[in-house]
Amino acid sequence: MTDNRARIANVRSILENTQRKQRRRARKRETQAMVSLATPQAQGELLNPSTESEVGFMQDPRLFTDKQLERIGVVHPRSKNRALVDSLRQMRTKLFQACPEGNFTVMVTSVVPEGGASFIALNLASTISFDRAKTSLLIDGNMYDPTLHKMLEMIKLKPQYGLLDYLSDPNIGIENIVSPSGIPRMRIVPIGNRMEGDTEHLTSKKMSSFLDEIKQRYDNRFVVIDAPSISSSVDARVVADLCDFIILVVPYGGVSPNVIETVVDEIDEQKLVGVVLNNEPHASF
Amino acid sequence: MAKITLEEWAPLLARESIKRRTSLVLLFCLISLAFLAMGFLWQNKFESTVTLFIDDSNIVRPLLEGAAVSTANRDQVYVASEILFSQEILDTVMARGGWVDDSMSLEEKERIKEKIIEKTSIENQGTTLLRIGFEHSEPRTAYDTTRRFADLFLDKTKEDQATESEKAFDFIDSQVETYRKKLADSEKRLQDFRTQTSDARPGTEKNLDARILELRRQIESTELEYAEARSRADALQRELSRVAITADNVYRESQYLNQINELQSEMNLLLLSYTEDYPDIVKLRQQIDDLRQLASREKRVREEQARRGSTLVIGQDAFVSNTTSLNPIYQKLKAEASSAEADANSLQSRLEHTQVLLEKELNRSNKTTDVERKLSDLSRDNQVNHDIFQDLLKRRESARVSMTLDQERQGVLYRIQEPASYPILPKGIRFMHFALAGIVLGFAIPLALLIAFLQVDPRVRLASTVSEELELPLLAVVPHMASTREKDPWYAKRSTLTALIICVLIIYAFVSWLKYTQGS
Repeated sequence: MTDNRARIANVRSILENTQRKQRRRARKRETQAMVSLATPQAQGELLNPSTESEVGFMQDPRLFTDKQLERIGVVHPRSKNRALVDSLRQMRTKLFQACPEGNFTVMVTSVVPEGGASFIALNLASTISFDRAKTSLLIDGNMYDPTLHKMLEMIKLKPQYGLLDYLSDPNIGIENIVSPSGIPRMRIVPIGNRMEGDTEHLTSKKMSSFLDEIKQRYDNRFVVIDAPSISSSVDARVVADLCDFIILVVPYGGVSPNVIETVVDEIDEQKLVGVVLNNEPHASF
Repeated sequence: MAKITLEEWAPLLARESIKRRTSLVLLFCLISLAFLAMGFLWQNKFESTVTLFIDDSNIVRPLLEGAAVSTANRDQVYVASEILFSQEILDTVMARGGWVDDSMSLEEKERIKEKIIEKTSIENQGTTLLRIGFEHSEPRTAYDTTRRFADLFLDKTKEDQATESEKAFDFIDSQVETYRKKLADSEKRLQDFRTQTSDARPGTEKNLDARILELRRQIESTELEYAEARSRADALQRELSRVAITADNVYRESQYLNQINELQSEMNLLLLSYTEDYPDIVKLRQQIDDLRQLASREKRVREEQARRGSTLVIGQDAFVSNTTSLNPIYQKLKAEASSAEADANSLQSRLEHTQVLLEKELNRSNKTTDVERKLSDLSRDNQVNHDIFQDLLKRRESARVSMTLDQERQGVLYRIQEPASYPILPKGIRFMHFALAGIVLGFAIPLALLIAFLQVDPRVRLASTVSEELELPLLAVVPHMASTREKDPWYAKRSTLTALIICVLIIYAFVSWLKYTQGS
């Protein structure tokens, strides 16, 4: 009896896996088809002069120097690590190809904690802002291990409010939490002051309207959310429901395929735009 | 287990090697230095060898093949081992090699002997070459000892061969003398016995047996003849008793019977024509009845005579009436019965005589068996002694030839085919092999361990795992970004690891120089 049940469960699991894989393949085909059609348009947008003039109003009080950027692990167009820059650009381009119409909100999360999601989110936002016609907004949604406030401290910026403050206090507006990042055309929203019931705020309607508003405020603004690991926190799943896309960061040599499959099963595969294999060691000494 | 294609292996190994460079370099240092240490401590073995030619194909030997004792087929390695490892040669080698002194105990000396035996190798190279080798950590000692072994072996074999042949000849000669005496003694005893015993002749028992056999055959034949004669005499006697002595009664009775037959015939004839009461027939019947009464009266008279035993002996005086005459059948039977009785008596007499003869021969035969047995024993002893003596004579001559051959160095000879060589290079693996193996394995073992680890570890390291195995869209493979704040620990720094490898190579060079300086 028990054997039969186990066998049925096993068959069911195999069927589910097969269905999942079929769905992924279908999505992959759709994306490729979309990319081939959308590529010229996307290329055109990158060079749209009107959009460029629109973002030109953004003023940065202080900017990081190249050295400072390298110290905090952020790529810049002049970076000597061309492989890293190229891979991030490749990721950005694929992302744009996945959503050729308008801007989007993308959540970057890791399969396991310390998987490098913050690094990828930060550099994705930075890479998007390489394009003079686009701006990026990086939201620190990792309330367990926030990183952006440290970055701001380096350029002597200490924002008073952050995301959690905005969500919990109706008197605080969006303009109070969006800060310059020290990187041209890139804005950040730090996590803010933490308090009880933070997770509940993320599920609130205000959070959803906040994301809509900041996305729609500028046509050329792309929102990147740095979320905690999806396997260790429910916050990532909550935020994932509010985003357009999800990027899953897999640390090099950090997890087995089974772990990745388990994590993928927990998120909406329609939103999973792709996987980033992070922190691959150099092949030269 | 990760599926890694051939194209992916090289970059993956390069990445992982860089990532784990500290462990790999440390492993390399450990392995190479361990091998270097082993090589340094490894005791080199120098072997010096001498090849001896076994010369047993001289001109004289084929002529004497089968006569002299041949040593050509003996196991040369066994023979050489027996000689080389003899107490005498080992003591000499140890003394000349300076391995022993007077202060050493017997146990220590024995231990050294065992070591020398262990280091000495003896082997056949083909059928005519014998190779003797000796191993030692010092090439000079190996060379000197091998040369000493060869010289002592040659001396000893020559000396042993001569001594052995001489001893063999002496022994066989003494045996010849012994058997000569034995043979003379046995011949004398045989002669004496024959003189003392007349029956002690060859074939006596055989003749007796033939005689006894003949007598037994005669007895059997005579017994048969006697039984036959006796039976015949008895039969004639019985027949005689039934025959009448005279022929009168018989005659009259037969006359009556003839008349009865005639009358009966006549009556039968009449009965064909007439009835019973016909007068002639009645008359004839009465006549027949009368004749029958007369015949029966004659028969009764004859039987009465026979019952009373009234016999008539031919040739003797007897009363014979006018009406009687002697029966001729009776006379003839009487004569034959007498003859048969006489034959039977004669055969009985011969039978008794033959039985007496047989008894005598049997008695004689019993006496002759003992004599024959004694004679046979003596003859056999004599024959055995004679055969052995003849064989020993042949052997003595063969031994004399062998002794002469060995004295004149014509037996199996060992000649030095290839003299002892001074070993320049050590035998087997040496320092250089260890050093090279250390370098090669220092690279190979960590690499093999890394490959094994990558093969077994299921964690994702390849883009293909994401895109092909998991069938997920791959956005990018982001390389490691070394920030300016990120610093390798001192032991993982390139300079440290390079210095470590250079140190190992310097140690290699120094130890190699030390080793070869010491060696030379």
